[in-house]
Amino acid sequence: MTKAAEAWEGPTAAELKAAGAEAIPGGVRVKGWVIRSHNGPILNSASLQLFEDKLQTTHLPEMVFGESFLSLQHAQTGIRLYFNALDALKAWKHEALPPVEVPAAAKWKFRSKPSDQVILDYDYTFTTPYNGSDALVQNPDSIQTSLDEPRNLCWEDSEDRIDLVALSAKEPILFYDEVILYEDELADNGISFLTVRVRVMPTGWFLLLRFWLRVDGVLMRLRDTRVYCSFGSDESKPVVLRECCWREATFASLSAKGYPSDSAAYGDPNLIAHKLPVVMQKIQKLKLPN
Amino acid sequence: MGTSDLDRQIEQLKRCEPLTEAEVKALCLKAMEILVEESNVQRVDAPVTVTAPLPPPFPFHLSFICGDIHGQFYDMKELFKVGGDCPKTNYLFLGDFVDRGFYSVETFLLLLALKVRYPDRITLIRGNHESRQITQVYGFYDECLRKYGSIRVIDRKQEVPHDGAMCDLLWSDPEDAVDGWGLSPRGAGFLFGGNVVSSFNHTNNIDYICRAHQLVMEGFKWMFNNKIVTVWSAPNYCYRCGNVAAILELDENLNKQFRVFEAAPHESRGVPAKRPAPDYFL
Repeated sequence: MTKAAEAWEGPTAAELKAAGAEAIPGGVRVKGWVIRSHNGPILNSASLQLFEDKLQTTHLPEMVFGESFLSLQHAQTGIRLYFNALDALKAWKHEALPPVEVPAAAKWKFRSKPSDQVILDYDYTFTTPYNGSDALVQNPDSIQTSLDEPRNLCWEDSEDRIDLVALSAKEPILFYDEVILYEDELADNGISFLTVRVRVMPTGWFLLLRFWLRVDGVLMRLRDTRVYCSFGSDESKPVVLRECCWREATFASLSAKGYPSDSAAYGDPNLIAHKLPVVMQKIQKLKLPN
Repeated sequence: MGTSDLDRQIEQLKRCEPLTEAEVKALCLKAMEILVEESNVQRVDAPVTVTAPLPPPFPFHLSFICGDIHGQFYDMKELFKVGGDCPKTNYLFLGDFVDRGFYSVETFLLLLALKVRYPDRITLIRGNHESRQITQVYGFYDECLRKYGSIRVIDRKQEVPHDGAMCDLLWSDPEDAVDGWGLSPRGAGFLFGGNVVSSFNHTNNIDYICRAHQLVMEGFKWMFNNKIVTVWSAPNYCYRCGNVAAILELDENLNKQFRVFEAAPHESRGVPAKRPAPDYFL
């Protein structure tokens, strides 16, 4: 997550004009896309109740930014990609990984009497396979003829790769934001968060959805989803690539490789990602709706 | 260390200016003398029953119970604006003074200086963050190294052990999903339900338990038919949660009222209000 940094005044009017872009409240309009984000507060008691009802659980992250979102919508095709805490937690609930025991657990087991205790076994790390929500929305100009749920988009496996060279160019940034969807301190046993960052440049937009988990002394998980759209020449046919990369390592395995084994060395996932072995990787291309 | 020295230090700390290392050391030694004499179960009287009132001009009327602060110094100043200055007001802080915020050193030193200056007016109890292991991961240790170059300025009477009553006190939480006792899915840390709280309150002849340690959007949260309340005193936690904070006021008849307060305005704190700086992340 970004630390307090120098203030940014946003793009200049000249930069927006040169890119054919327009600043809108909470976002930007560029090359047929409307890209918006919002950072809200954590859930209050009433909205927490709503989430608990929808998810059928009373165990949610300590900080759920339920109103926060990132949305990218392409007017001509009706493509809409969006990122929010509720859908991410639905995916967590569905994956339902077994809990991870903290180092102190061995000692606690020794003391506890299972007969008169309830052992909770939900995944308190809130590990989620979520890679974003998508929908095909009605063209706002057409007459809506059905009340069906919006259709989901179709992603196909692809051999293409996200063009990191193009993304490394220091183009002007027309819009940038970081949206935290949820976060939990694991009762001071580490950190778990899901955050999405976006940057919009004159030649394309790029986002990184990141789930980061560190259970102190036990394991780390990094689940990154990168989505890139290069604007290209034909505004009506956007090319959108999505790359998912999951990494995971135990502190024991890192220590065996000679890496540090104290949690303080693993504060910033950017700096240590390469030390964690890849456990899953896939690249998909968005199939344009007919 | 004279009273005038201490008063000067308190004024300095109120401006969020840290003390010199020598001053910190002297303050810690003095605080240890006081804290060592306090018992494990610290009696805090409501104002009307205080047996040794300070001479005038210190008429005091109220007591406040405060939850987590987490190094949010400027927000703690808001807390004192809401509750009134120590020693005119009595304070009981429920721990977790340090970590996560930007000013754990100044926050804790101010509380410690107030404790030394007015030992009967302010009570500081320990949270799970007041330990070597936790502060090494969550910020206070690094902040001490940054501001003083040595963690040795902080002395602890004892490390938090891995079992026993002290450990349970610092690592257990109330839980709706159980009636009796539960074990956290982490495999460590007890959870307790309504029955446990009721029987504890009955055995100890108390009306309710007031504790801190868990974030609540509204600043306080009652559970189990008002048998236990969680108080949280760090508004806009981590500078992004948008939550309000609360302190619990007890008058001389033990009538209770929550005083809710918000984060200090941006301009009055050291950190500038900012949009996130764009970053060519990959």
